[in-house]
Amino acid sequence: MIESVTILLVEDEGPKRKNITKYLAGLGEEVTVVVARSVNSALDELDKSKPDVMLLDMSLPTFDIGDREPGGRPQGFGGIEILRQMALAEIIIPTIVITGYEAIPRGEAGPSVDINQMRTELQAEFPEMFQGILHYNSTYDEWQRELHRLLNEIGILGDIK
Amino acid sequence: MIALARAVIRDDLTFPDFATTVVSLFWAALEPSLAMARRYIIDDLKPNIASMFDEFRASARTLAGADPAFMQFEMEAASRASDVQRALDDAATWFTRADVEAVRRYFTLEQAVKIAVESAMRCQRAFEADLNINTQGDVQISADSLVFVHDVLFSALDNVNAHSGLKNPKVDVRAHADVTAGQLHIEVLSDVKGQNRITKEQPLADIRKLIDQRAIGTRTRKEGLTGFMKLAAVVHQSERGAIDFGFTAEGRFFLHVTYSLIVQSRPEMVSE
Repeated sequence: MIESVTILLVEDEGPKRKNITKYLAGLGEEVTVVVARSVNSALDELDKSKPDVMLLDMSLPTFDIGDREPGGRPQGFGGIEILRQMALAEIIIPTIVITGYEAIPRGEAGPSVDINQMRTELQAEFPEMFQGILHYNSTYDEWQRELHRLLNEIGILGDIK
Repeated sequence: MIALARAVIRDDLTFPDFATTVVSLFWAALEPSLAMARRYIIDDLKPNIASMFDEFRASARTLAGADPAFMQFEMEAASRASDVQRALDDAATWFTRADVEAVRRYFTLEQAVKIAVESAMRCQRAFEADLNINTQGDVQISADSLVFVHDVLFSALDNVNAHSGLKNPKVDVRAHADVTAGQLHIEVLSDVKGQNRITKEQPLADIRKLIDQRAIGTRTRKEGLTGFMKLAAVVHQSERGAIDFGFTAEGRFFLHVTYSLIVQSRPEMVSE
């Protein structure tokens, strides 16, 4: 049993990031949340240290949004880009996908996919990392219950003393 | 602001210098309002709109049932919600200065403190303090930092005038720039009539509590007993900023303010 848990939260939208961080902070003082807001900053964080779990948005900009630059329009599958880079570098981190989309646009890469289809595809491509996908909507508490269940399944909550 | 501008222009011998300084001062005076607008957009408006989008999508989900067209609608609504949030991020950047360097004027720390004290004392009519000024640090600070130095010394001297209970109190003003830590320390120590200390402890404790709780948003819009809270609102814009006040063991009143400064590649420093 470990005494602390580090969670990497990769999310570009401020209000959603704030709500998820607040929920994670409520799990206990043992939880440290590291935040990344883009594909590149997430990869930088993973270079620096390995979190115990990663919470990943699917639609992410390539770069962090600065004061004077847009950071790029969010890519429909910026989250998958991160997972592919991790797989290439053999960085295996249990990952839960949290998306605000019930149907995820692929852009020019093809038709959109719903969450169930996305679950199947992620499971097939990243079997060692992918732990689950959940739909986030701040109106309901379902996402919190589902996240709690998935963290419990991974064993993260059991690690928190 | 006018008193400060008057004090500053004594050093400006040409009109272009005067114009540069005054424009810098006006920008500095505007900055708290700009910061408030940025905070409103990012901390209030954006989360509220994101939440409204979420409610809208949740309601639509309930109404749509198993309608296959819902997925297309949902995807579009989620995408638009993201677009609106990004547009608000852009809008927040409208409330920042893009041409900071174009309107910059620098002062030595000694000049800044001297100007600020002179200006602050001019606003305290019929108040005669026995001032002892000491500055340390061979640095230059920008006009917007000068406005902050003025605000600190104005609040401190106004406080001494109103609450010391002494006609001619001894006031020590110390300013020290720590370039390595990127901080400017300003300390004001003043004599206080013994019995005044007892009556002032509780109001000071109340103000300290509000500052600790960061409950300073609405209070700073009022007049009276808010000088330290207004300073706190500014210094707490940076994690390196701090404010402390109270009575020393010797019974003197102290105000210690730490203001965050960013060191530039030039020897000058700018406020964060």
